[in-house]
Amino acid sequence: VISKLNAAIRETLADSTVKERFRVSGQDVWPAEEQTPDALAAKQKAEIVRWSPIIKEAGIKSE
Amino acid sequence: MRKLGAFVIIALGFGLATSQAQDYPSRPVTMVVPYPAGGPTDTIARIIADRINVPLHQPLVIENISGAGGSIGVGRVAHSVPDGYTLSIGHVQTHVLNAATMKLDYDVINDFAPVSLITDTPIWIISKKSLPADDLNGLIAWLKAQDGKATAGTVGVGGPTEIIGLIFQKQTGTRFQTVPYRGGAPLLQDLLGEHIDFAFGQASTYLSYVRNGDLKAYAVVGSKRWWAAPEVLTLDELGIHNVSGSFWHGIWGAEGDTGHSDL
Repeated sequence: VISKLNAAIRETLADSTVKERFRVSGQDVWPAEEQTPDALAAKQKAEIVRWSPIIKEAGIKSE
Repeated sequence: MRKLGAFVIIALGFGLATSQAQDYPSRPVTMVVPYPAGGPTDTIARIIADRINVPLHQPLVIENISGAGGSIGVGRVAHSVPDGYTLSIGHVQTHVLNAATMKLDYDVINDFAPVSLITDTPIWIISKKSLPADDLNGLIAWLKAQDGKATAGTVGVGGPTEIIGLIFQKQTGTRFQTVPYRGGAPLLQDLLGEHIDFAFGQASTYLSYVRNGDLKAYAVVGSKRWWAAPEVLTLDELGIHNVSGSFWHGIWGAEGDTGHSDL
């Protein structure tokens, strides 16, 4: 199911009309090699590591 | 023979795992946008929905469930049946920061099956048209003169724009009130209507208004200029370091049947 969804998204992001609409709306589409479940998982984990000390510095605490 | 037996077992197991996946999707797929219609996440979702029906052979239906920094809509997907018919579009706030700044009844990692990275856009510091400052130093001087009364729009409590707003105050010695919004769309309306003075937000939302002169852009939050508006300087160039972030978007399914067993 995930691989079918990923394939559908990759085909969508490669479409020239979609590319143009994203360009006009100021969105950069990720390169094809990063349009993968692994790249999203890695990005999510890297961002958790990167933001944790920033959140502490900003002094935002759990509600 | 042993070899053949093992092969048959593996083949049978594979057949079971893929049998449900084979006729997917047999009905429309829903994607939850955790912000109001017309905002940046909604815009991205609709651009995808307008085309993905071709490879998917089914429509992708957008459902806007906003509130609590996007956590209500994301939670809906986390608790949905993990059959691939309910997807979550989200970003650095919904699937990273909310986990650190809010009490959630779901796990942003373990309750989701990543599908793909989609788009990325920088974070800008922008202001209402009538704000008298013409560059970032002018903005900083103006903020200091307001003695804490200036208002800055951000999206959600504990989102990247609010965190960046807090760090910006520390690094520049300014003080202002942050006003959290449910999404980029209502923030934009209030900035255009001059109900707030300035904002930290996804550059894509403000690009056309900055180009038309209806809003002012002071800086890219980070170290890299943006191709869409290369004239806007970066905070790094302006001497404010260690403040960066971008609004990358991704799509997830609910973890479970749609997860790695089907890969």
